[in-house]
Amino acid sequence: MRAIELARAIRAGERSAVSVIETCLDRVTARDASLNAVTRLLAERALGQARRIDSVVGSGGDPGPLAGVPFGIKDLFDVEGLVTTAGSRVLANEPPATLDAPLVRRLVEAGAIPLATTNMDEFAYGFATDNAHYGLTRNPHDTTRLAGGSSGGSAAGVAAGYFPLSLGSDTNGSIRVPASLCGVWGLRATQNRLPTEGSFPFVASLDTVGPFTASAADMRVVVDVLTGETLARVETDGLRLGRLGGWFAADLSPEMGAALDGFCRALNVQREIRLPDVAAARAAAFVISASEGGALHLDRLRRQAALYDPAVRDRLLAGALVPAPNVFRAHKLRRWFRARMHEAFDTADLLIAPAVVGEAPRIEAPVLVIGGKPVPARANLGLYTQPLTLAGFPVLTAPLAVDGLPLGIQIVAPPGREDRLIAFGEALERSGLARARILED
Amino acid sequence: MTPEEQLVARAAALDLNVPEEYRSEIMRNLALIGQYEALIMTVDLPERLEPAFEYHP
Repeated sequence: MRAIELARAIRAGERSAVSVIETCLDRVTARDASLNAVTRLLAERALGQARRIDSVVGSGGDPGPLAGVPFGIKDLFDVEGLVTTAGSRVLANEPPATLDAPLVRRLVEAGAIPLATTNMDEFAYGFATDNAHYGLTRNPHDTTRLAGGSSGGSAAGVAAGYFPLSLGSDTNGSIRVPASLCGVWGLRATQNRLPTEGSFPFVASLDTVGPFTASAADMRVVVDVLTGETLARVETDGLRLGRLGGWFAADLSPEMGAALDGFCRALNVQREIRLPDVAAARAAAFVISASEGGALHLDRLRRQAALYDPAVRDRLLAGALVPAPNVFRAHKLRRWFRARMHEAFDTADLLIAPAVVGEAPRIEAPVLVIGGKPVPARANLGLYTQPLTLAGFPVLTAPLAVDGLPLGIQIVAPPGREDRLIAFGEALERSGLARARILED
Repeated sequence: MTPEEQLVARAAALDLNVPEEYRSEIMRNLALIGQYEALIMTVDLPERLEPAFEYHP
């Protein structure tokens, strides 16, 4: 189910928006007991909006480029009339949102229909979508495996065919990790390009919000809608591609190593680029996240610590205790690393890196091998995403067309060059090198 | 100071009472953060480098 095909059929009157929404609601109801991607179905609102779309189509009006397309919303975005939980019981007694978040509103204005809110790690602090209050989200392609996080419900919902489009947030990799593990497209836009207003924050310095889609072609339409601009159709022939080496080439699973080698061979990527001090860049992202997250929750932790998911609570409490000089230094390193990233683009137009070390870890034995040693997957799924977070450059996660479980890569562009990313993604999709993995009925 | 004494002292400075049953996990997290703090210190940064509070990528 691709968004643009669905919208075309609805706009042409070949399908009714109501029938699409009813089908999607039925699909979620039938399947989600095994996946746990969805936290709340928005059936009444969705059907009401679908009737309005059908009415506009019936009267010859323009229902928008995403007419009737259902979408999922990570549970940290404001949705009018609902309490924004951010995946936590701590916020359960907050008043309901009085407005949709801007990103939700922009999709709705383009005709898209909010179908469900989706599961996440509490307060977006995790890479597993393993939530003490709302449960664990399972990978649609193998329910014994993690979907990744923290936007795992949004990624799994697209992969499961619940909706062809969803919204997530990415601070340290929370779009890129689940997109890779679930086999869908995900975009971490340039820092500050998409408004975080109306979403519950995690790390204000690093937070971004963005979409998951079932195709690169869908991503173009969705990014146009979310930015309110029309992305240029960039020529991709002749783009200089660089493969990130060093940190980004170590610790790959055999499957990811072979897939990435094959991908680079197919595109004749000869250039290897090594960024300096990537370990320190990742460390800086970690320290800033811990500290800002802890500071944000400090007052609630004084009063309501027992209400938190224990794993998140202990991370936040530790983060609140980080000495300020170390956070200050992490921010200096951020400035320094940004300059190194800009230098990397002196010899390349796009950078290629793995999104994660390999396929989705097993739920019962969530371990990755890093530096030759088994380490907890939950803390290390962001190995390749966290350093890039620090620079704030835009990153498109593309699902490689491989056999077996999904594997995703990160494609990095200079700031503001989402047009280059999307055009390249479309070219990969047309050539068959990338393809989302969506469950069919 | 033991790690637990450090934890309690830092928490007290923030008017934060940390129940004993939370402390072992918090100390584990603090040890992990400490590893990352040490990594940041390995990079030689100019004294006049501006921190990235007002950040444009």
